[in-house]
Amino acid sequence: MAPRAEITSARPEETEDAGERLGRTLGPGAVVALTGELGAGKTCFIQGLVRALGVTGRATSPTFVLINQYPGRVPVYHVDAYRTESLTELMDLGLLELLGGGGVTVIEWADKLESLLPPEAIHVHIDGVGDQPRAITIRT
Amino acid sequence: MLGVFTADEMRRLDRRAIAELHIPGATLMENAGRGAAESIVAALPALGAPRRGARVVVVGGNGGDGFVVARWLKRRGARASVLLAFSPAEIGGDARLKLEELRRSGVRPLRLEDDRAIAAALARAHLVVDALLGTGSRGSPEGSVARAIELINACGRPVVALDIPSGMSADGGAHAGAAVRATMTLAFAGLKRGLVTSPGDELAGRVSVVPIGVPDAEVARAATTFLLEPSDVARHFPRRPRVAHKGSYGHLLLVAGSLGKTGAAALAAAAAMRSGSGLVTVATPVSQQPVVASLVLEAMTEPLPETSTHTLALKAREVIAELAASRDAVAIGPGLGLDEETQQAVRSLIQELRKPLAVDADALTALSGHLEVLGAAPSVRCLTPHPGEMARMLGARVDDVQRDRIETARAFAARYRAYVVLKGARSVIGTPDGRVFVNPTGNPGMASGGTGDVLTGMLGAFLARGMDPGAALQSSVYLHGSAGDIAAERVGEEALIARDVVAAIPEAFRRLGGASG
Repeated sequence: MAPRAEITSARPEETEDAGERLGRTLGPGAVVALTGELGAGKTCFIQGLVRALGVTGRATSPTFVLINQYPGRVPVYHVDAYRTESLTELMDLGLLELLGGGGVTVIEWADKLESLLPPEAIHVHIDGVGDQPRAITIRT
Repeated sequence: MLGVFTADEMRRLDRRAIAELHIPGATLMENAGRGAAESIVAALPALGAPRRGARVVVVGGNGGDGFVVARWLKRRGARASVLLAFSPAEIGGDARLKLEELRRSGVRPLRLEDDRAIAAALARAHLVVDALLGTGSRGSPEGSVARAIELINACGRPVVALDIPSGMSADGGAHAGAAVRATMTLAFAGLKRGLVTSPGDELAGRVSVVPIGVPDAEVARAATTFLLEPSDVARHFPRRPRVAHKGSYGHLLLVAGSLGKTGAAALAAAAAMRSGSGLVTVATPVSQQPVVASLVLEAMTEPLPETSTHTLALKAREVIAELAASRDAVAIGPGLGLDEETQQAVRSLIQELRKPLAVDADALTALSGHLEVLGAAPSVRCLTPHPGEMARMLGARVDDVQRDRIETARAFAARYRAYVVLKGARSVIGTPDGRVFVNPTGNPGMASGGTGDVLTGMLGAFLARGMDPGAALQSSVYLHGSAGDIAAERVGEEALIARDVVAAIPEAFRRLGGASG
């Protein structure tokens, strides 16, 4: 799988822009799998991504809710897969089957459910924490 | 008996618990949710869910009880999920606190707006808990809440409603929009009117009460409306002493019948005998006496002066007063007819007879426009109108009578100092002290000619054996409905006739339990 894009981001705003650029390319059925350390800027990236999809409110870190949904041009599902029991719950409720359906799904900590992701999922990895510049890798 | 509350009465009870009994609101919420979770766990097998690992989806609104239920279900081994109908940012107060506690326990709620996603999640559940709307909500549900209600109804899973099914009118009456159809409802602290009156009772499923930590005495003190339970009736029928004789169980005088309406007299008399009256005498227009006598073997008959149309004549009053003097109670009305002279005679009997009196049917019509005679009566009067008769007595429309049946019965009883049952789906009994009792028994099959006469006979029998009028009315209405339910089991609601109800009275006593069978 060849990298589609390698982006360097020096500031949170640039990370958000990167998300927005990716968001503009997404249509119904898209699944974005997002990985990166705590504090890498996953939430920033998602902010930009959902804005591009027409979501007017701000995306929040889904640590509070297991899955959040924002109304945009298409429904946007924001899933937090940090804990394995969360995954079990999502599977229990048939919600993983919604992946690739009519909406766009963004999954944080997607490494935990690698095996369950559809082959066409877009992988985004953000490398670096703290004051370091971030290396954002987008693979399809 | 169980207290039945309005949303307003419940709010006042809550406020009192918090302000005067110093029970924090969050504690009441915790008690309610925990109690509900325990009830759900106990009901899992009955609801077709496994005892451990049951998938329970709580559909939550902005109240906190659903969050507490989910937390305790998880602790009891269920796989609990919470679907939020509101954004977490919109949830405040004690509910916010309970949402935080839920999260700390490892259950993170899900916020879904897409119908397909919600439907998918609900369809996977063993059990759905409806925690969307409580007694505080007014008007018809809108937006995401209305959609959630429809998705719950469409999911095909058992549904447990917390406090009331969402969308139900807590105070009774028709619901304005979408409403959850629950398999079971767990009412907090006490029943709500909507749960025990028509048509809300059809949304509620099996109803039970979950205590929330307010002392029972406080809950009881706040109640002015009650749901009858079998034990409320059974206690009036202790085992008969072995030395009993027929005089011990009273002698009822039944004033009933006219040409073409002898069946009403016979049904009432048979029902009175089956209800344990020691003796029954039927006083009926003289030309009809042989007919009535041949229809009921156990009752005696007395002839009354009659009009040219073979209805009770004005001069029957003296005869009836004399007969009543040596009886314990009188029931008047079934089949008397609407002849003006008869009506006049009946009116003066209601005003003057010095005995407890059950007043029904044509005797109620005699009271239309003359309700003041009730206040002047020297002894207890128990009235058994159906909504049409009640409307006629009050000069009101049936719609007005039916709009709030509980308050109609309460106001009537207080104003005219009479005991009254407003019959119909979920009969309600009003007593002069301002209390109202809702009857849980009965079925639509009983909407059949003569069933009202059966109730009159039963009521008369209980008055004759010396029961206090409130107890007599409660017992007769409850047992009459129960006998109707038994009759419906035997012959079906369609075919049910009044005689089937009389035939089922013995079984109705048996089902009360205790010594009365």
